[in-house]
Amino acid sequence: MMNVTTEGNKRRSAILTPTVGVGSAALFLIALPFLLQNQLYYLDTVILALLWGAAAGAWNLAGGYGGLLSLGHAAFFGIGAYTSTLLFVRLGISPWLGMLVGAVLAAILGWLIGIITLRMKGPFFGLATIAIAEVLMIVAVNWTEVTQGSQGITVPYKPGFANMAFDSKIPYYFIALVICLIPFLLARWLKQSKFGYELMAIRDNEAAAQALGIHTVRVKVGILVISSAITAVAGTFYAQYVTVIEPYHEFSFNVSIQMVLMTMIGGLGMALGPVFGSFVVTGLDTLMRDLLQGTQGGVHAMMYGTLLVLVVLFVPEGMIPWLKERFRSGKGGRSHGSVVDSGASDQTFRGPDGGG
Amino acid sequence: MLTVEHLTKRFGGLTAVDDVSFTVEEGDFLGIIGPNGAGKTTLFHLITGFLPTDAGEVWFKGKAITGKKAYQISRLGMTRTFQITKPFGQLDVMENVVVAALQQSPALREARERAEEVLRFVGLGAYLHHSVTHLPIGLKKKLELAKALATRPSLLFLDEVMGGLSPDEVRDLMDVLRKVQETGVTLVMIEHVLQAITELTQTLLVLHHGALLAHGATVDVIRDPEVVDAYLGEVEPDAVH
Repeated sequence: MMNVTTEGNKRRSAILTPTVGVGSAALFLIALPFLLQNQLYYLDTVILALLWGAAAGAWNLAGGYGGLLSLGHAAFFGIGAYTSTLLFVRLGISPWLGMLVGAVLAAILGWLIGIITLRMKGPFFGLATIAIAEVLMIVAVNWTEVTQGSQGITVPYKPGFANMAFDSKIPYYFIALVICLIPFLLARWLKQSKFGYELMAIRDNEAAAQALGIHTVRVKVGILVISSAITAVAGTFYAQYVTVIEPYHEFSFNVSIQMVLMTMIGGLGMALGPVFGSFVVTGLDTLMRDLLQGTQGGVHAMMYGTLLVLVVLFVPEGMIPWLKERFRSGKGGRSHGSVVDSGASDQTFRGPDGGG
Repeated sequence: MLTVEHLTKRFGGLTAVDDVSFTVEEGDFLGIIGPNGAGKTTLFHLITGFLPTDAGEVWFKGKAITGKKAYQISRLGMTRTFQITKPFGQLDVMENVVVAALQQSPALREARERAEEVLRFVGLGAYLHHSVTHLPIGLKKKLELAKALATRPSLLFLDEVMGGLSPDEVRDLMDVLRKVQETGVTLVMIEHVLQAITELTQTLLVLHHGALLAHGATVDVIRDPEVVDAYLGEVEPDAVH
């Protein structure tokens, strides 16, 4: 009798644990902006962390899962920012629609870069992405009658849902959250779909993937298109939230590298990696600004550099696998921090049906 | 089933595969031998679409497949293993084979079942969730075979699957290959392990400096003085048979 009850409880808790984890995480994410309502500075940090988590998450789909080491994702980010802003400022088209148009344009560009460079072996893809971002920056700087050049464009502040502009930070928070969830959920889907398995196989060994009948170019171009489109969506949101865009930032190598570094700090090829990395970097950024008011510039770059050196030296696979390992050896079981755990465990997740 | 005609590949001044023609019948087990650098692996690359040919034609099941890409050829039912194993390093043993099984059964659950079945078939049933990077060479070779089998090939090219294995592992893998042949798969095997060649293959093809030196029933070819001279050297043909 005792045994039966224990067994039953165990089984129930095995089913309940993930549900409870996801439920409490959702509750926390919904409550968070209201808890931070009076600390707008921190809410702002959270929103930016979600935004960069979305961009880095989009990069991670191609870079982490597909091994496509793009160093020019700022191209797609900038297209998203500029498309929606120009359509809004010049033609009065809603940024929501602009967001969609930006995503489509970025997808087309990603497709073009992909079908040309992803057939070739060697570093052509990475180099091409850098070049494209630089070219777009030069265009945005010099096409002054449309883009106002290096002076940048200010998004006019007309609050209203249709204009994706609000007088409270809370709506921005929820938009950022949804945008951040897109690459996160897609990454989880990759772990349990044919497309995802093919992608990871190509990342690990392209020739072996071809031998199994995988059309490797199509799969790689496919993930690049998806990644580009989501990066552009993040770009549009950035423009709407920060309300000023300028070519030297939006198309910059810094923005491209930021997506790569955040992902590497959190964990490459893990759903939660880029989000975690973004929160670490953005959080530290805020902290540094608090501590060292006025001495920004170089300090920011130094922080980045130090963080990256530490990660590469001590936890080359990223912070999430490292934390997981620590919790596992320390407690001999599931860690608390259900958000971290549920996301990170997808790397080693074996579904109950895994045994077949 | 497979017809190769006048296949030629040059690398600069070197003719790696020189006007090679042969056929493989359904149900056959063909062995390919030859000294290092004789063009055996290049021949595999050409037939399975990993290298473009300079001249010649390849027909598979009556269709010309010359110039087709490796993935297209694989989808037609002709696949291969690699001499230097190419596991998907960040996936575990099971997932490695799931990738292959998904090409035939796109539903993940079915692919998992198929993958497990194939892994048990080759003797990797105890290693389903092991990391592939830490597998010993013998098991890596078996994994290579399992991946190829999971695509349900009708013609399978094996590039030195016995290389680096202990005598026990060779015997074990030979049993597996016999079972593979029994399931109706036609096999072509590059091999340096003579025991595997003599005991498994029905026909044998000898390459020398890229050209076909001999082709016929294994028992006859292995005694051919020219072959003995070029490749087998001092080995007594009677001793191995």
